[in-house]
Amino acid sequence: MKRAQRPEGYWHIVLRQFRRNRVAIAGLVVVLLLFIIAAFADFIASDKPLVMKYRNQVYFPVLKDYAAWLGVARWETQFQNVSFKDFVASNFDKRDWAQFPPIRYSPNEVSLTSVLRPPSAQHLLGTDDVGRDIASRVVHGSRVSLSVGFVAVSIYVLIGLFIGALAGYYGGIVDMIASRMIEIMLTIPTFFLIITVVAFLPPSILNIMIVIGITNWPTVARLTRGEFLKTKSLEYVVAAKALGASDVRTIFRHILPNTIAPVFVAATFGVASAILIESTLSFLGFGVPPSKASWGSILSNARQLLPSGWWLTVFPGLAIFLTVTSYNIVGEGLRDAADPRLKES
Amino acid sequence: MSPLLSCQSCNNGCGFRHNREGCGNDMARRIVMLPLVFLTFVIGCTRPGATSENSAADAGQPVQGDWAVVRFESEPDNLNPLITQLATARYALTGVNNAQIYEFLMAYNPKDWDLTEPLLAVAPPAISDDHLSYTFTIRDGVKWHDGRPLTPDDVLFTFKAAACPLADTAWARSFLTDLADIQMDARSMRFVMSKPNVYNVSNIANVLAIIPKHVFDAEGLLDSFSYKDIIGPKGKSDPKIKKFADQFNAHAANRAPVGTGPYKFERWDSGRELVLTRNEDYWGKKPYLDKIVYRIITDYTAALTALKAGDTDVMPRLLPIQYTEQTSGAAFDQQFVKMKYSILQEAAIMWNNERPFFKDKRVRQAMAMLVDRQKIIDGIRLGLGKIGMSFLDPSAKDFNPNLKALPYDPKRAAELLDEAGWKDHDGDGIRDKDGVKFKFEFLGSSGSQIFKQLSPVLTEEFRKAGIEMTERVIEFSVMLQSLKDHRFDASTLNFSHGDLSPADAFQVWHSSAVAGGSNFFNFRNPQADRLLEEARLEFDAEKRKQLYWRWQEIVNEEQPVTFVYYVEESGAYSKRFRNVQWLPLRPGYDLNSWWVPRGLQKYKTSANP
Repeated sequence: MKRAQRPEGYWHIVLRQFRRNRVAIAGLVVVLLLFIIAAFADFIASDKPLVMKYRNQVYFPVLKDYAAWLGVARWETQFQNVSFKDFVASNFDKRDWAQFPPIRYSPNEVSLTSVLRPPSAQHLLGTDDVGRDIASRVVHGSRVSLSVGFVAVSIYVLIGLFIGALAGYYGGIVDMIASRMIEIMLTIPTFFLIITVVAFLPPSILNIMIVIGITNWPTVARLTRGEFLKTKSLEYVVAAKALGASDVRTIFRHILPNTIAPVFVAATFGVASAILIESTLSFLGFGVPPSKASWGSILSNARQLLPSGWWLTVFPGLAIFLTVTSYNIVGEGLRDAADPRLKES
Repeated sequence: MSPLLSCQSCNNGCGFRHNREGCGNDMARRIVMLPLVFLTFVIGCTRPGATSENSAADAGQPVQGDWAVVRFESEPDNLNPLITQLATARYALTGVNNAQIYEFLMAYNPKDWDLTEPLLAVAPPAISDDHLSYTFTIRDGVKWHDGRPLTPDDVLFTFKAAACPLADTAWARSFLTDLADIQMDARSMRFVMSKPNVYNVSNIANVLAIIPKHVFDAEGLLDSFSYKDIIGPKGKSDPKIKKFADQFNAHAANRAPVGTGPYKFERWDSGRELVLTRNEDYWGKKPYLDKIVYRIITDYTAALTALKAGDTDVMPRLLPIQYTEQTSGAAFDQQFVKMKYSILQEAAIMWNNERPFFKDKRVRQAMAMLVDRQKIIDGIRLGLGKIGMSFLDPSAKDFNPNLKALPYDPKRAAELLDEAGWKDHDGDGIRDKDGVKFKFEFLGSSGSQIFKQLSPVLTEEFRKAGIEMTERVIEFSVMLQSLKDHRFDASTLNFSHGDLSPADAFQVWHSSAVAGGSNFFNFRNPQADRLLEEARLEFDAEKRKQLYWRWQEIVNEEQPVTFVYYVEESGAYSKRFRNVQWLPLRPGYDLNSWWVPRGLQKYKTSANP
């Protein structure tokens, strides 16, 4: 209040407010942790060693796998298509060693000799009906969930921002058309629309992202439009226009940064709901291809086996619960922090 | 007869996809020969104690009374035996051995499961020396459930209705292609075929359940037409026949059948249950149970809960996990008998023989050697199955006992692939030949539980051998269309048959079945074709067997299809039932023979279950 310098920026205030909210911070930590798990899934759960020494040479099979996948490197002939666990067991002598990731199974590694094992030291979260390790599948499944949440929401935020900005800024006939579009979209139950669309498409993560993306934009558009209507008559906008700023500059440089906070909050909640939608679709069999590990698809698999195999339901269910809750907590924290009425300064 | 293809979901999973063509059309109900000795052995094996208890009680005199509440996994589409596409409708309509609400001309004898038992016919047909004419005498004194007598006119009408090109009877019609004419003389009927065929009797007497003319054609619209007229050009154009077909397809009796069989239709509450009552005026041996209630529960978990709660008495099919885990324990054993039974069905992986990868038989053999069948049976079917070898069941008369299933042998498989020229030339870990990489798609239906389990197992096994398999999952009906159009690399299906005879082999394996038949996998082998053609015309059983033996050797050698396992079903039923016979026919249970001792009876006819 007494500071003589430049007044504190809006985002600074939001950040300061947010930091005071312990629960929200905890949520954010969990979300970041999940992102780290997703990004490093191959280093956490894989059937290949992280590092190994074999015949006086050091190899990095997990990294090599990435390189081979990118096409920049080739597997050595002796390691091609081998199962490293078998390889280590049969070929290693005393001087050789291999360091495996904490979870020594790949998400799609089947083992018909250990189907439906309950959690144990060997399989931390048990195995499913073809002997795949659930811990590994849950870890790798986070990739699907998080990327669907992130990408789908980015798509619809962009669409929503664009349409909302145009409608709010120009008003008149543009607003009329955009508003009617928003209203029409809002009258359609989104989930059923998604199921209908997905039924026609082959199951793939990309399709799900796109479908969620193009069906959820109206909420964002409506929010943006409202904010634009409110902001466009404010003095600083009028000033910018008087100085000769173009429409594009006014919209993106001056108005948008000041209207984006509520959109941001909505997006955070959106990620949570997108993750739920993905899980639901996978559960119903419309989601990711069956070979792909996703929390929803693990659950869907478990349903057939109930009441056997509780671990197949509990762990992916917990993962979904944890992620969705964390996102919602972060969203709430953001909303409180961005709400000017709660600002104490 | 017709090749019977099951979507695998039917065996194992949701009844919701249990639909349309292929899925358990067992009208061709041919029978697996399963010695009763074996059956007893199985019961004795799985449930010691139950056998002795049962046999002791069996000694008592069968009495009438009580009901059986049987779980149905899907709702019938309709109850017209000529139109229905669903197995469950057939189970309710004609039971396990050709008689329940409706009846066939003939039935299987319970000794060797050959089609020799007369039903609505007085005796097996008199066959002319050229095997072209078959004369049946229709039984006298049989009454429809509404009291009217059965006449040969009803039989003639049934064949006319089925042959009617505008009626929704395509499936039944496919068996009548060789039927040229029907002549009547009082109670005797002569069926004239255009070609001799070992399987003609079964095509006539084992496909169509006889339906009442006075119900379905009260106006007598078809009276002025002969069978020949209907299969001729008139059948498609005549307004009267057209009118009949329209009425027939939407007839009220399609939901409320009137038959001649041991059970009468009582009511059908959609989505809930189908109730049959004993026919007190039945011409033959009357069954014991007062009522049969088919309760429709699609979900397996819910069905097992209903069984345990006493809402149903019989669950004819359990999932492997339900059989091995969820029905064990003393509490369950006290109330129920659990059993395994053989069912003439085998799971198979089809290789599209026209695809560059699968053109060479060495490659197909190699693929088969990469499938670890015993592990699949143990791990996925939880032991319920036997290693698949042939299109014929091992208990079938014509099964070749000298067949050896290709062993699981990745090393030999790799050698075969190398020999065939599929080597990893560019060092990327995937085999290739002439610039084509060995990457193929495995097609499956979204409802199939087996596909879901089989696919990751195969993917991994093939990847180790330097073959990349990706999966494509589509809806069952779409998948069936893709198979018919040969638009697939590899896929998986269950073949189901009606009986031990390889009558259906022709429509699956002959090269003429590539177009229009069920030879989805493009198998063309002149020698195999010739053997099948000869077998159809070989009336000497021993010589026919030799032909089929040779044919099975060729198929095993060529591996156009890899048989993974013979399906074994498992089920459970309430202990209060006596004389429970589990027939090697679908659906397996013969409710006409079950009875309950008076003291154990649960339902009184007046009461509701």
